[in-house]
Amino acid sequence: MLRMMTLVLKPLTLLLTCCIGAGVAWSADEYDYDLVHSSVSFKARHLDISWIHGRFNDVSGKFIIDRDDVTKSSFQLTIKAESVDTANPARDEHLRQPDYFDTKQFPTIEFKSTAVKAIEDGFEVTGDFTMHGTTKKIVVKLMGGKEIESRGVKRVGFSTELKLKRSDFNFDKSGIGAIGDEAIILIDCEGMRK
Amino acid sequence: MPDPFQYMIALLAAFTASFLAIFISQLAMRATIPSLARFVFMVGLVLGLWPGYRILGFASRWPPVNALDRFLMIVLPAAMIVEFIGTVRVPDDQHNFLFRFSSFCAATVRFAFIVSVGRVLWHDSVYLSSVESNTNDWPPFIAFGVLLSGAALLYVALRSSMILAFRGVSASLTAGLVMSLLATGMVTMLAGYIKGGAAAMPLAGGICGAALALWMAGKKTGPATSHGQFLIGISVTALFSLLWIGRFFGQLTTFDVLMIFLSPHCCWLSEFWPFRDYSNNYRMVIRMAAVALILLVVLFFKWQQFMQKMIPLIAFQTE
Repeated sequence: MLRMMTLVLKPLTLLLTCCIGAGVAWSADEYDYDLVHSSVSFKARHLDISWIHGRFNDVSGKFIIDRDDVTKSSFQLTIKAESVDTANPARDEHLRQPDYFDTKQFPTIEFKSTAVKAIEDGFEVTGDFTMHGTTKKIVVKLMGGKEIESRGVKRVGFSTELKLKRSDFNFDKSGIGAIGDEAIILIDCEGMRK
Repeated sequence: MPDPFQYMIALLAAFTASFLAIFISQLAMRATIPSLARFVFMVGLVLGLWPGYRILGFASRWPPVNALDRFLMIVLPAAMIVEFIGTVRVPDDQHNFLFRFSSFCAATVRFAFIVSVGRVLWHDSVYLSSVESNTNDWPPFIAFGVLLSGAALLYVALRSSMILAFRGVSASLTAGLVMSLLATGMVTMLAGYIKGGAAAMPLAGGICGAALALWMAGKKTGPATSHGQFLIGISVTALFSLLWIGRFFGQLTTFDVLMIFLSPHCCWLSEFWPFRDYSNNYRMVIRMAAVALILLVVLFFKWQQFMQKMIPLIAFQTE
């Protein structure tokens, strides 16, 4: 009797496991941030007449996109503050100091999503943005989300733009002078499926 | 942009406030018990530093999030308490068990404090992050070695300062420490860390005001040697902490830091041949000249670097 039950249950369990596994694989895709085809850049007003541009060269991240139930999707991005690059080494060194990013104290800038909902042409992502030791809840509109398969690798791309005030993240007032308080962060990222 | 006028106001405010608070309290406390007088001296110094830091816009926030906050909210108050404990002896009799026990407790507290200063200033920074995370700058054994070297340097500097104070060089030493604090502020700002440099200004003003108040009150009430030791202990610890922050969070080099930190100890020069045979006034001039010379050399090199690296940025900003 026991033997009969084992014979019936074993294939059934196996079938169930395969179905669950396949279900997850079909509905939710996990992507790694593709550093080669992505960029996190920023611009800030200079003397309120022009813009200074810069970028972060060392970024990593992970997104899980569930097409069937978007609320189960998640986005995570980690930026190494030390990798700031404004095409001027002296200014970059200055920006790494405690008056600005304080990279030895706060080595990373992070975003972790807490809620995702679908909107036309993309996703509206609510999440915790941590910079300079301060965490604020922000909402970003990720435009895109189109998936393609190139050379056997599935890829997805997003773009977004967000405005932040440095004073909201405890940046020192002495550093907010000629360079405006508000910074615009531009994220164009591509993910490669794991 | 740095505002030299504001730094000068902060320095003068700290100088005036600490001078008035300590001078008045020393005259008023002349007849009371020594421990209470020392406590009032400590409060006077805090009252002196407070307006200076307020003028510069330093706001207290708890928990402190960066090294400078930890210096102002943990290290500086702890240094004051350690120096206060270090000067209290109960009762004032070297052969009494309680006296020896209180001396042992004071030495233990001081040792624990010296070992912790660097660690507290590094708290939550990349220097202490785990090996697994990819944010660590150094392996743990290097971080441990640097912390140990820093503690040893602070211990030697404190011992050297106390020996100098007992040899009657405390006035020159205090002046040397104030000069070093001012140089620390300027060099840190020239290296690009404006707030870190500004933090040295009220300290220099406050310590200078307190020393002057002690000297003037001492003419009426007699010299208060333990207050002088207290002030020297605070100054050495503050100098160490600001240079540590400038080295590990700003852009100060190890050369800058060592030259500035060791410069007040040039006061030893007058204790050796041939200067020890000179008159007191000559010896004081030699001490001050030696300290100033080292600080000027460091400032000169930092100024040169500033002109090369930072001026193009500032010129660009003000065009």
